[in-house]
Amino acid sequence: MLSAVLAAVVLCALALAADAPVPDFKLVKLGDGVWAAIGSDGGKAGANAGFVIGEDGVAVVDTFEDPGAAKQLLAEIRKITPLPIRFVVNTHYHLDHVNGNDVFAAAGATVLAQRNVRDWMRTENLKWWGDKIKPEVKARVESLKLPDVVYDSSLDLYLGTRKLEVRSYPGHTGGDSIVYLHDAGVVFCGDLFWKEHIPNMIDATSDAWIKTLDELVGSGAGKFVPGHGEPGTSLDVRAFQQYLVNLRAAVGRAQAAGKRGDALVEAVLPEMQAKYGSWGFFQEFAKTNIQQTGEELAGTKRRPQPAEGTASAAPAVPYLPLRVKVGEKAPDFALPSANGGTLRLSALEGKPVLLDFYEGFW
Amino acid sequence: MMELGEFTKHYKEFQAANAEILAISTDPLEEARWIKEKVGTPFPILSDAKRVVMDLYGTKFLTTYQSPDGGAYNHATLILVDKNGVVRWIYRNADYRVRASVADDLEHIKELR
Repeated sequence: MLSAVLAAVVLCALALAADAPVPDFKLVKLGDGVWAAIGSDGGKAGANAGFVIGEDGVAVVDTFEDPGAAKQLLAEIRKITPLPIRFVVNTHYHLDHVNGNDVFAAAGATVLAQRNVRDWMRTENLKWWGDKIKPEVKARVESLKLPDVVYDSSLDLYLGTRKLEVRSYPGHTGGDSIVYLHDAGVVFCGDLFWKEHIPNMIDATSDAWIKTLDELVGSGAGKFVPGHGEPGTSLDVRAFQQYLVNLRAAVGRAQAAGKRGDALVEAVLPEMQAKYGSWGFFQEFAKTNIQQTGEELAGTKRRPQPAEGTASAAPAVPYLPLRVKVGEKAPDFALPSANGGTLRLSALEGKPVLLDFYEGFW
Repeated sequence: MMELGEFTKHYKEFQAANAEILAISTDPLEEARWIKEKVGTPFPILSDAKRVVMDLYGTKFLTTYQSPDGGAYNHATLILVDKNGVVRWIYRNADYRVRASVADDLEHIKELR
């Protein structure tokens, strides 16, 4: 009897919990005047944001996917400090990080971002809907509040004596920045870091991204705010980096075994599911991550390009086309051998030969 | 020398397929000898210190890293040549750390006839 009553109480409590609206974001204090606004998966915020309070004002990092959520964030900041909102930094152009720019601009903020963010914000953000975009959505994207100030690689912002180091790094879109609060040991990483979430790789250059994550860990900061997921430590950044390394390796192996298209996804997905099935957005992004990394490794991936006359992009692959082709005769050569003497390729005719061009500790 | 070690471990399987492995790098001959001794490779390690074969095959790595002698490095590349001297399979990856597995290499060798 008692257990039946208890069960009924528990069920009621569960039902209440299920009915309670999930808040769009929650504030997490990371240091003196340093706050992360962590968006709920599927909530209106759509991503994380944050803000830093200095002696003479506030800087906001990213502005959510929804202007309503941005207004809520502004209201929360107003509860904590009366200081003016002086700056917004957009970590990259994706809509879920910039759609509330106008809310903060109306409150007096100057919007800053890497140069490509201004170039891409009103154009590349249309691709999320394709041809089915509604006129009102298209109009909204095409009137997004653009950055007022742009930079190529870095910028320092001061809120009184408090310094925010804004640094651009490649990997996620080609126009991403982090905001480093040296005095608090906090890095706002934008979407260069996803904590236990599968990333959106639609614009990604994963080899550059892996190197960028080395640099972020090398900053020596203790707290890393991701674009999606809870704040983490350098170990979480390493775990995310390992995801990219594992994904590239698995896709590379499957491609070397001749897998393409759907067969590539089928070959790689089980391995990723076993390791990362519990991460957020697995359903949303795991398959496209495999396809997009496949395109990247094959050299066919489309990425947004900087506008004419702006920063030069690194070459997509670090090599020129080989001078030999499948089906053609391999040019003969003779080289000194560590076994002694000289070895000529043509001396091995009659057996298959695997030429392994290598260097050092590979 | 990760890959050289893998090849060494599985060399018997290459021999069973009647195949040979030639490892080529820009290391000077003394360095090639040292690596051969250290890894214990049963197959030849060739020294292309003058970058003759690099130029002939186009394996130059476009990187700002420079080798100790100031010249270019090879980009990690596998080229499978059949018994008639014809190229039959090439493996390269934009990330030189991503390598084909030995199992894949052997599969491509066995596909030759």
